[in-house]
Amino acid sequence: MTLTVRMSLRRLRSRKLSLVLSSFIIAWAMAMLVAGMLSSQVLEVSSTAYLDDLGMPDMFVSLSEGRPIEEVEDALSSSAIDTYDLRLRANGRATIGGAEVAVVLIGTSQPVNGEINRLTLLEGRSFAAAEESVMVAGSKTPMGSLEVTVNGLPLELNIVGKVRSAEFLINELETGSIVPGSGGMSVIYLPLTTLQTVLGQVVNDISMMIDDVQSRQEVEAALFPLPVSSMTYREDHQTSVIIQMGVDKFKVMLPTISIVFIFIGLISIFITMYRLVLSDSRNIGMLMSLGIDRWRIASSYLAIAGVILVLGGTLGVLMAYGFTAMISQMALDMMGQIPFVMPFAPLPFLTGLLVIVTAVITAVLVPVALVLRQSVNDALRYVPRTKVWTFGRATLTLASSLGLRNLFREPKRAAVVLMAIGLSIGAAGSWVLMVDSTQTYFDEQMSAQRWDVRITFNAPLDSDQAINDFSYGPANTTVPFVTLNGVASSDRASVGASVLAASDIEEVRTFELRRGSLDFEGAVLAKKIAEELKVGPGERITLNLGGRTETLLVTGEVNDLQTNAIYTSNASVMALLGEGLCQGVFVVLDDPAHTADYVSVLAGDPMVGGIELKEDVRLSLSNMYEGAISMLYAFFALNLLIALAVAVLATIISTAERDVEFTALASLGLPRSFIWRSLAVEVGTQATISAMLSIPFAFFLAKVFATMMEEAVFYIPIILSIATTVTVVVIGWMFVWPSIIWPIRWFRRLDLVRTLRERSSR
Amino acid sequence: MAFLSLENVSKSYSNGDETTTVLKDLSLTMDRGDMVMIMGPSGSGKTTLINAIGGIERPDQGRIVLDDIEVTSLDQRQLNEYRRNKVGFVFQFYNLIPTLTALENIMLALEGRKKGREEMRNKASDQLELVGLDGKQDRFPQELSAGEQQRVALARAMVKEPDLILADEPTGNLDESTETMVLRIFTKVREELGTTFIVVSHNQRLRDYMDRCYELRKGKLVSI
Ligand SMILES: Nc1ncnc2c1ncn2[C@@H]1O[C@H](COP(=O)(O)OP(=O)(O)OP(=O)(O)O)[C@@H](O)[C@H]1O
Ligand SMILES: [Mg+2]
Repeated sequence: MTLTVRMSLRRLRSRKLSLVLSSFIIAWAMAMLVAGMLSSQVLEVSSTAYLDDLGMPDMFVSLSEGRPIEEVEDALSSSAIDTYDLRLRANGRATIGGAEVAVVLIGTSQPVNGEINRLTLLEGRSFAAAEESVMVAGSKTPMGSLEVTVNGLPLELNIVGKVRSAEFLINELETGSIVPGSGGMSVIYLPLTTLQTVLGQVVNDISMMIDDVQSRQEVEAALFPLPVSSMTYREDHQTSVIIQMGVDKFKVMLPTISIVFIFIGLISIFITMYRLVLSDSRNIGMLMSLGIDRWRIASSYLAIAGVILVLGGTLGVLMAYGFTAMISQMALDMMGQIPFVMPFAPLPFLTGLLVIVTAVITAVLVPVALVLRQSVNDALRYVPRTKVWTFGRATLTLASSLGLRNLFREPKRAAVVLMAIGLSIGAAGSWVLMVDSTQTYFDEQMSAQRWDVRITFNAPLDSDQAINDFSYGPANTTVPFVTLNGVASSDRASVGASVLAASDIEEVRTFELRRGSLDFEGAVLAKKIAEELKVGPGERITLNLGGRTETLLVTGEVNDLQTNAIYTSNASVMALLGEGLCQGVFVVLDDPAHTADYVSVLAGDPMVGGIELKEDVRLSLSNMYEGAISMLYAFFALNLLIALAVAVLATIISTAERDVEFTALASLGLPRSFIWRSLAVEVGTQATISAMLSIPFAFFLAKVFATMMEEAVFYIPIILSIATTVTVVVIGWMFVWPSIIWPIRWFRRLDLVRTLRERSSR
Repeated sequence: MAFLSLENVSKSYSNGDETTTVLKDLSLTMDRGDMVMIMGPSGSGKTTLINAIGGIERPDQGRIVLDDIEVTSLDQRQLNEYRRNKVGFVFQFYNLIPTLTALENIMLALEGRKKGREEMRNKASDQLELVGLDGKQDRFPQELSAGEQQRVALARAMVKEPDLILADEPTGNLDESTETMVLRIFTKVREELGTTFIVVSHNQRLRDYMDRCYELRKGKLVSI
């Protein structure tokens, strides 16, 4: 080891804490970056493995009415289809604890060990006898016997097990929808033959495994003879969409926030190094005067970079693993306890290391270069300068002005430090802002819905008859609708779409128009699907549902939670469902308070499959998305630790250079409280200013996140509410305060004699 | 009873295996208002002695009693109070607070005494006048010359009217005329307030102002 390297490493001894803190900040930045990249990989790999394991079908098809098995099998004779599972699906209702609960019944012939739609048993056993059944975890139904009403007929069931299935991984969601229905759906799997005793010898639900993507068109064509009402490919299924949304969120958010932390790490190391090199100025001058060349001197400081990198890199790798495991575990648990699979992925780690190596070396070398630029003479003669800002001389006490002036004694550095702390608090605060804005946004989205009750029928019904049948009592407006899940195509692309067609859509909800007009004679598209299809108003798209197609003119583009939504009029989709038919009605009541009255009449109506109340939907929507977005809340709050670390680092740097002053104060026999008061003013001002600064940073970062999330999910307008502002400022402020512990401890341990002697020897 | 008495004070430093004995059974008595000079070669223990009397450093053995206070048996908190009320330090390198003005540096010494701000300010201002720096009260230390800084330090030591002033090479960095001025101030303060002075210096010219002069030799004080 050369003498110059040894010289710079020895300097580190007295700066151990600064070194550790710098390494910690850098490690954190790296961990965030790596965790962002890695956890999205973990989620993708784990969920794909899990879905494959569960035999997630490549294609889900629903028929608008049941058809005999032979007829369906005939249609499915295409060679492109590997395997299929024919099921019968029906909506039923059960009374549980006095309340009426909607139940989805799925009759299947291959429950646990089939190749497709495998159910994983969580509790109890699979069904064997005719009246036995299993339910999806999260259902409201209890284990044991249950009477379900299907099509007005009673069905006695005995629930003997609890299962998980790929298609109901998140059982708030209906096929094709990422906007939840009311509460958790109660889903019950039972023997196909049992359900057929009530509904007849038919099936209405097909799941398929398909050879490859090329054969999709062949399969779609084969479905032509069947009355298809919904056709969803695996990647458009809500399970896949929700998982993808989670994956994208991590991919976007964590690396973005890691940039902030890399920046903060850079600043911290820069400040520490600058201080160190400046106080080394005379030594450097001495070395230069001895004729040692500048590069040798500079490279000796690289040893410090090396130490930070070894510490930070090691800690960073460990923390990255920790963060990834934590984030992925939480996300996977939320998506239905998907087992965690850690892929072998060196790339994120290499990227992370590369980034911190560059950042640390820059932060170390730039201040060294600044000092080395001086002439030998200037370096030898260097004396630390103190700029003094004077303010409030007449009104402030001595302790306060001492604290304030100390905070700003190097104005540039003070500004940088305040910004860095503000930025760290802001990074944490941006998350609070996101959560708050999301909630507000969802509330607004829900208030865009004007309907009070949504009724889905067991089979298509004539629209006029539906209006007639359901416009009773408190019903003000009754709007028949059709929902279809199919494939939308433009000249350029084709994606899964969720179509809502109603005769008078604007009676039941309002829209936030982005482009074009709200002309529902044509198709109004949600922003994301319009983007994916690369179409705008004036262009044409084709809807495909089981081989039957309908071409629509795009008239508008709207913001929507359901990112693949297409809104149009009943008439436009007649060719797909059948003339004059509807699948359900939206009901607007004269007063939402009459909801219970209205619904009570529906009990026992054999036509009614599902009843959703707007209030329930609102609740489950906010539960689901708030849960998803709040998941990282605690995690992001940890970022406040970085704010503290920066504050401690800054306090250390500025108090360590004031040892002589502390000694002078001590030799005057000043009361401890004087020192504490002045430190409190210094740290308190630092906390207050940086907490205030954090607000613009938080707002800006939240905007950035929102813009980036727009690509992956949907755009959330960022709103700065007073409550959020106060929360961020107060919490940030509190987190900066503990940095006062360090100078207080330091003052207590201060060795008067030694500092006095060191000073005299200078 | 003497105002200040040191009885058999000993102090040694150990550096690994080596032990340096700096003060060895040192004794000294002084009356109120005495002005005493301590000389001695570098490394002889002058600073150590001053620090011990001022309650900054603890001797290994012996007793130091000032005005009936047994300094050697005070705890940290009491020592701090002792420094605040009884002694004033003047260092060779002034040790002013760079972020406080000349006047504020002096006012600092009055912190913790139950006095009003205005009173503090007036007292500090008087003291600044005494050391001939009126008009420079709003200057920061780095805007003052070395001699001016030392005078501020003097004023800071004297403003609380301590019984004892300990000066460790107070004129080491000053030219002759400033040095003379500093000593005149010492003399004046002693006359007016009866303050006791212990001044460490190598400077023979200071002897004329002193009552007595000692040399620190092999850990003991020898009168010269
Ligand atoms: N912390 C310490 N550890 C070891 N030895 C010490 C320590 N502090 C002081 N000494 C030694 O004690 C002796 C006396 O030091 P002191 O500073 O009192 O001398 P001095 O008379 O003031 O010298 P000078 O005239 O150079 O200021 C010196 O030899 C010094 O090396
Ligand atoms: Mg000395």
